[in-house]
Amino acid sequence: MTVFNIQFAIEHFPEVLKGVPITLSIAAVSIIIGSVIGLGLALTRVYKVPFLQQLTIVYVSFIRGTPLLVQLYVFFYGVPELLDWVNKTFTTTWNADNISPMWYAFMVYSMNAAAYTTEIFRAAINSIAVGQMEACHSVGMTTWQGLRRVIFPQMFEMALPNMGNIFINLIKSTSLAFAVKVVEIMAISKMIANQGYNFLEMYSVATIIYWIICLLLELLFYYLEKNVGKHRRKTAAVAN
Amino acid sequence: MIKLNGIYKKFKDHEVLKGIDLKVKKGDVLTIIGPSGSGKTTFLRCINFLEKPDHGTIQIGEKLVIDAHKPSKRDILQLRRQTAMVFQNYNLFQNKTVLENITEGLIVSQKKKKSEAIQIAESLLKKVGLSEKRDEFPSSLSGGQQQRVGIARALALNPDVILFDEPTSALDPEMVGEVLTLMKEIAREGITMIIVTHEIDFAREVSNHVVFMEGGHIVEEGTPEEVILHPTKERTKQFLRRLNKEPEFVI
Amino acid sequence: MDSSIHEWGTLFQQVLSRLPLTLLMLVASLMVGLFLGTLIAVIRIRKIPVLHQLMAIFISFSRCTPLLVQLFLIYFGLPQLLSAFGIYINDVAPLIFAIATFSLHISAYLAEVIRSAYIAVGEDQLEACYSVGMTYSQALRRVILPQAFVLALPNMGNTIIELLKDTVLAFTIGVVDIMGQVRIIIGNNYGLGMFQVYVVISIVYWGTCAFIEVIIHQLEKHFKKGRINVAKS
Repeated sequence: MTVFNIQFAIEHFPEVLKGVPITLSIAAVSIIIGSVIGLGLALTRVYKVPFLQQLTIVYVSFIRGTPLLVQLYVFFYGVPELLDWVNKTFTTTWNADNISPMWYAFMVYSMNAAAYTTEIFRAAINSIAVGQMEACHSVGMTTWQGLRRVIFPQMFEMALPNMGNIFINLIKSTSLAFAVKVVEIMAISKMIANQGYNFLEMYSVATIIYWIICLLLELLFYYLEKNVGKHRRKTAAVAN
Repeated sequence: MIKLNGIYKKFKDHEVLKGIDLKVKKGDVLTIIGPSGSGKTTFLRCINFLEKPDHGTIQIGEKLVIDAHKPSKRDILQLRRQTAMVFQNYNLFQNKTVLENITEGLIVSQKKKKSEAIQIAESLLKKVGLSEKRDEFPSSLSGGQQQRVGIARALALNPDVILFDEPTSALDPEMVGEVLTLMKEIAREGITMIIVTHEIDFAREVSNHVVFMEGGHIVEEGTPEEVILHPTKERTKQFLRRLNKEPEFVI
Repeated sequence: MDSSIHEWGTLFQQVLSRLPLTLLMLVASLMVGLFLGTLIAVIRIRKIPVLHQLMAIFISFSRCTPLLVQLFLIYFGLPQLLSAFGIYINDVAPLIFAIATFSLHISAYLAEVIRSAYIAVGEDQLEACYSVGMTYSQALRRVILPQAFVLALPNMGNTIIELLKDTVLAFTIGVVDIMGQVRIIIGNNYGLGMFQVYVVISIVYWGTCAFIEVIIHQLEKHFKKGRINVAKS
């Protein structure tokens, strides 16, 4: 028996590649939705909104303190129960079986992304000098106008490197989406591997695919960081 | 015409402002001097409500009166649209160009058309001598240049009063001159200015109304001749003496 | 969902009784990972030729690919690879494979944590050691690494918590920990279903993470006593 059936690997490579769009879309959708929610949550903490602030703290602690896989299972088994309760109380006829696995994935991964992005947004906002907002107010802008035009642009730029890390982590974590029956890279690799015991070959294929995606993303974020924020080039004359 | 009555503020247990009354006429150049911790910066920041006083009233012009007990958001916004501030640390919008720093307020709060705003901004940049920097970002300007942009930003809004919060304190000595010169020019043009500063000579030369604050009170008030040259109160004399150490003997 | 407090109580008990295995995986992987990670960090710091580039590739691999892939590669793929050389490891317990994979995985992360802490301590300290006649390894042992340890503590804490969450994957290769026993737990509980079990499991993990965070925080406080700023800012 050959150690590594390279023929087999190459033959089935394209099939595994079919999982790449799913993986990318889960990560992309989640980071976008997650960032919007995350920004809102960050603001509740920056502005110390009573009750919402505490809720945010608990939410972030829970998401970051529990394994993603368990979160996926909680949703996967919880949503049908929730629908049953809704059906009983409001005499509706929602059917949990009609929910596509992708929806579960989008929900859980977005909630996950929200918890992580909120912390980087919060740190970024807190490190922007309070004078920036004061200057906005002093020229007669409302708080929201100041946030939108001056604070958020600076914040996004500061958060960019960490956003890159979060996105790459999201990509890796999509390998757990099989828990909610999503057919992505890992699920496909597993199916093919189990057919003929070609574990080494198929998981090597999966490894290479993830590795390449990761390296490409690192390159992408490297160039993004370089080109965004040309105005931040510091000279000795920067005001504090 | 700006009237402040009974401005009182406490930070935790420390009374920073113990009831300040002040009247400023149109065209006045008022300087507020005093030792650190006297509350002068806090007082200045109360005028455009960047600090919220605990008690007192602020009146700008004939109609706008704000009571510290129940300030409405709309009134505060209106107050900030009738005033402008020049900060100690310039506080230019880091993510906007020099030109955009000046046009921001015009477009967003005064709802001017972009073309009109740019015109105003360009003429002011010319006035402060920084036209060639219009597309640069603040991080590539020196402190003195940034502060001049800050002054242009304030002028552009055509406010009832410009508030200056120790405008030269953060500057290297060689750049203080260019900013003070600009401020003198503006004063000559009749713009109402309230300036918190340590530059006593500037206060003497340029202002027509001086206030000496200490310990949260106005200790002495009057013309520069009265307060700086011939102070009557002992604390004023002490403060000025500390600043102007007379040489022991002159050759 | 007609459940009583009693049933929830039993559920918690059942889940908690399987926690020790998870903690075992955590501590074992941490120990091995720390050892390997320190080695790798030293290789990278000293830029030992060939090894240093190899380690860079290893670190890239560990950080760029999902842990699940690494787990499957080692559990399913390694026996296949070694069997071609006549080495049969198919009877080794899944737990060993799990600990091995987790150790390798975090050794890469820990290597980076240690390396940046080392750099933060600064060349000056090393020069001071040399100037009193210490060898490199003496300097490391007595001055550099103790300081680096304190600096690394927060990041180390995060890595440990991530490792705890990572151990959740062990059941996919047959380790019978909390996750691996879910079906059995369900079988022993009449009223409560999958959803409830996983809620309890998440609370148990949440609590354990919080507990670890408290310990790390206490450690940080203890070691920070009296220091103003060890690292070059």
